[in-house]
Amino acid sequence: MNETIDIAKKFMEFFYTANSPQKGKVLVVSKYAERTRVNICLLKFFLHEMKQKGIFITIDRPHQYTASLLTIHGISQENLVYIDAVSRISGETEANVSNVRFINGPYEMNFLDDITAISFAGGAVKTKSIDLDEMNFILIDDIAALTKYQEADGVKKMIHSYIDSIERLNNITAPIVLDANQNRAIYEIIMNRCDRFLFINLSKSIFKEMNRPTHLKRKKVLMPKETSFAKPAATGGY
Amino acid sequence: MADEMERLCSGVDGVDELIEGGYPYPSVILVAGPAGTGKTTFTQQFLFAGAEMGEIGLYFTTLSEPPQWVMHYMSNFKHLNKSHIGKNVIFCDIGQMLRKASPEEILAFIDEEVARTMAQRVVIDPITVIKEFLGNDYRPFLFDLVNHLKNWRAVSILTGEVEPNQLYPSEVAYASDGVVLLTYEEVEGARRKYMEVLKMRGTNHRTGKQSFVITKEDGFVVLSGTF
Ligand SMILES: Nc1ncnc2c1ncn2[C@@H]1O[C@H](COP(=O)(O)OP(=O)(O)OP(=O)(O)O)[C@@H](O)[C@H]1O
Ligand SMILES: [Mg+2]
Repeated sequence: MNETIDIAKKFMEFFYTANSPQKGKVLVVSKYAERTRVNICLLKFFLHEMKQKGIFITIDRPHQYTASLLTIHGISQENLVYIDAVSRISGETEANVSNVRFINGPYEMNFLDDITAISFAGGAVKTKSIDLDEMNFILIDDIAALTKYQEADGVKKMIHSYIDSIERLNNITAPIVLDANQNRAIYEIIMNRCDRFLFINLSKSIFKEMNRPTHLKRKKVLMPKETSFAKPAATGGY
Repeated sequence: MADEMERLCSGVDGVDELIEGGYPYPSVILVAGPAGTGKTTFTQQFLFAGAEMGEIGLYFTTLSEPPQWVMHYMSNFKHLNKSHIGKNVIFCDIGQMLRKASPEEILAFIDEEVARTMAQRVVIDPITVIKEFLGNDYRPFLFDLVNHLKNWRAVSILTGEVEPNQLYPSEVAYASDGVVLLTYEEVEGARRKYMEVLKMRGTNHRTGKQSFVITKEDGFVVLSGTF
């Protein structure tokens, strides 16, 4: 993985200023086609460079894909636990591994309602005896994929619950990686609830912190029913 | 609540217009046709178009044309930028391993290459020869292959060789998300080439045969209008 920008250095500058870690919810805007690479860069930074502990929630593809990517790129997963909500509906054999907690499907339960509860309910997190309060980061891949399994209201609720859960966890960094064009409604909800904003384009070597994007051009024609999401920014939820 | 599906451009002039702007991402597409219809050219353009945008393309050759000869013939086309070779367009020969490896080993090898390169575009050219080596294991192999390729988040084109009495290789066609047919037809004493989108999941695609040409300057180009 020879990215032309020194991504670790950029992440370092972004996430850690004057050696004091900046926690919170970070919206990372990047192209969907670069999702895998951006996720691996983030995981590499947190796990490998910073030796941190974290949670990786998978909704879009079984966790094994991320696990093999990390192995191939020499990144240790000792400090990573997975919450895998898609393996059981993926047509693939479920791996028998200790650092994964399987959910029946992303449609099934409000599994994002309370990350704290799910993790203590006896899954991997418990067996590996990792205290959630010790977790440094949490990543979700891909939050927009929820729209495949739920109606708009359900998705909206799940996203708010997820962000509420993050806010209850101590000192956790939660990058939420999203393509601005992938789903406008989701993008706006998340944008309104995130603390910081980062734009990454790996193929064009762009990495920059942004202010809260306010000038969204909404594709009204495509999604006429979702105008209700367009509430003023920074209200902290609906 | 679902927005427009994410799509990757085909790299072939005239094709994106037929399929709502590009192939669904991720997906697996079969491009099938008899010998010499232009399957390899079609897939090379797909990879080089991605490379132009900074994407990574991975091209697996099986037992038909080794990478050396694909590059040799493709170097003839002016629009393919050779500086992408080895960087954003990566060639990988699995011909030798096919002769002796198990289906699991073949799949593991492909998985590893796709994961290592994190390619967004993958081509296996042609997929159909693998059948001769796998026999009864071919269908489960295809099922796993297609599933894995999509989960790696790539648009993959599998090319299929078509026997004279056959329309397309049906096992691959069922497993794929899209089927594009390349054919020859005799029209007024001349042989013309046609392409047709038979299937494209999640896409309101145009049907009907479109005529296409292959030229040195522009490569594979689909002409507008149906014939
Ligand atoms: N420079 C060129 N100018 C015009 N036509 C060309 C040129 N190069 C290739 N062609 C056309 O493309 C055809 C070969 O294309 P290609 O190798 O992509 O086909 P294929 O379907 O992959 O063939 P095979 O089944 O043998 O693998 C030639 O038979 C020829 O008709
Ligand atoms: Mg060929």
